Amino acid sequence: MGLNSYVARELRALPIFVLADASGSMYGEKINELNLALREMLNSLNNVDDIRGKFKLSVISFGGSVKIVQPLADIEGLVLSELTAIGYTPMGEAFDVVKGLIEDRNIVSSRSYFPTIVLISDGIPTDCPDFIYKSKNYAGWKQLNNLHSGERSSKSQRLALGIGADADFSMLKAFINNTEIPVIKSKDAGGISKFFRWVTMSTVARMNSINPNVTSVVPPIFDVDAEDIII
Amino acid sequence: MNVREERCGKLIIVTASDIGSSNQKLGHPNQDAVAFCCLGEDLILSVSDGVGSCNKAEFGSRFAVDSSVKLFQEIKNGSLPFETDIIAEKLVEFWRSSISDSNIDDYCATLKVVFKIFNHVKVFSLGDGFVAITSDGLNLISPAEETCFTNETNCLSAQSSGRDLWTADFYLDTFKSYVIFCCTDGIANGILPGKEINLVEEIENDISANELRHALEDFLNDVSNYCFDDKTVGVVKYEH
Repeated sequence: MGLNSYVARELRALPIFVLADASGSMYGEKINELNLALREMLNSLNNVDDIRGKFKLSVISFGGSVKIVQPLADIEGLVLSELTAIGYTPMGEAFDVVKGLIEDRNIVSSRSYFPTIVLISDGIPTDCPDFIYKSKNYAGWKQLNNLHSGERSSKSQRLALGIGADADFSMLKAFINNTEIPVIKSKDAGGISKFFRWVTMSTVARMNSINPNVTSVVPPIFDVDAEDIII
Repeated sequence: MNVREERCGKLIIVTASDIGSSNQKLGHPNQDAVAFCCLGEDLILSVSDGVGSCNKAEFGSRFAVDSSVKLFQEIKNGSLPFETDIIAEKLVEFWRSSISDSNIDDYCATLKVVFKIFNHVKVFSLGDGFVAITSDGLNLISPAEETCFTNETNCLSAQSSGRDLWTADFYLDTFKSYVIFCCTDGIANGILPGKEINLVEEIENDISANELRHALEDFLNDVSNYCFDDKTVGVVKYEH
């Protein structure tokens, strides 16, 4: 057979999970912009050459209910379904779903690099206990805690965008749980594409680094105002 | 690619180490190291992978394999007994004492070592990569590390002790052919999961001593297309 017949002819994957707020408040320009930004990111990642592996992408929406709109798959040839905005914001349930996917070695293999989870939201989670929301002490939110403490999900890189004044930035900061990674704030739908360009740049930089498991990000150098970056 | 081939009686030893494309691109050195020493038909083979996130990883891996050779020489001259617990402790101790720097954790490295004294083989393993031995249908392989994601590993560090090393004994029938195979994760990650023993058996049964060097070079080049880490392998082949 020859020794070369034992070579694993598959590049290692860097999985990206997008948790997309598709609640009713995202209806209109915001959901349209989000759909466009996701396609742009997919296109950019597909055009990256000379990297240490391959990207995989999954999109999970939470609007009314949680849906795995795109199961984790190689980005090559991928066509994303359009997200539609409806209902409440079951973000905690979305955390449970993404944690379950990351912990499942049949979905995210042990040959993968640490995953990236990207969260986009314009509002408050409607399945977070009231006392936690009022106190802003999200460390006590069971679903978020589970995501942060899972054997594998705890190692993921987490990035977040809050859109508009109603976004819960305390919660987004708690979600990231890393003082070296900022929460990005956008006053309207216009910032969604910029945010995804930053996500793409950071993810590509990670894949090209000496150790793609180091979950640092590139500085948000796009044209956002300083007040749009929350450390 | 740095390749070395040596014959000691009926033994042939080939080692090959190649810098990963990611280190090369960034101008970093190969952080793997390999060493062997043959005295008569007794030998030691050792490979080590410096942990990429440590500042002086390339020195840590070199110290690890050189410490293994020094230990083998002390066993051979009778200064140390050929006993598992003592060897495991000494491997860590020798590695640590090679580092004059106060920050030992800048030198973290994995370690795979095989000592063969007459027909008795002792295997020591810490971290990713693997050691495998095959001989006429019998085999031994170090366990795969249960890590969550790729490039995570246990390693020699300031906190290490001999108890952290996985150890095993293997008794060779010296009237039969055998192969000893040690590699770092750059090779281990490039092999189809579960096929490691088959690969080593193929070296034992289907690749002659004369073909070994070329076959390993070819194999490393192929793995390099899919795995961008530093890659190091050491193979001992005995043909009866």
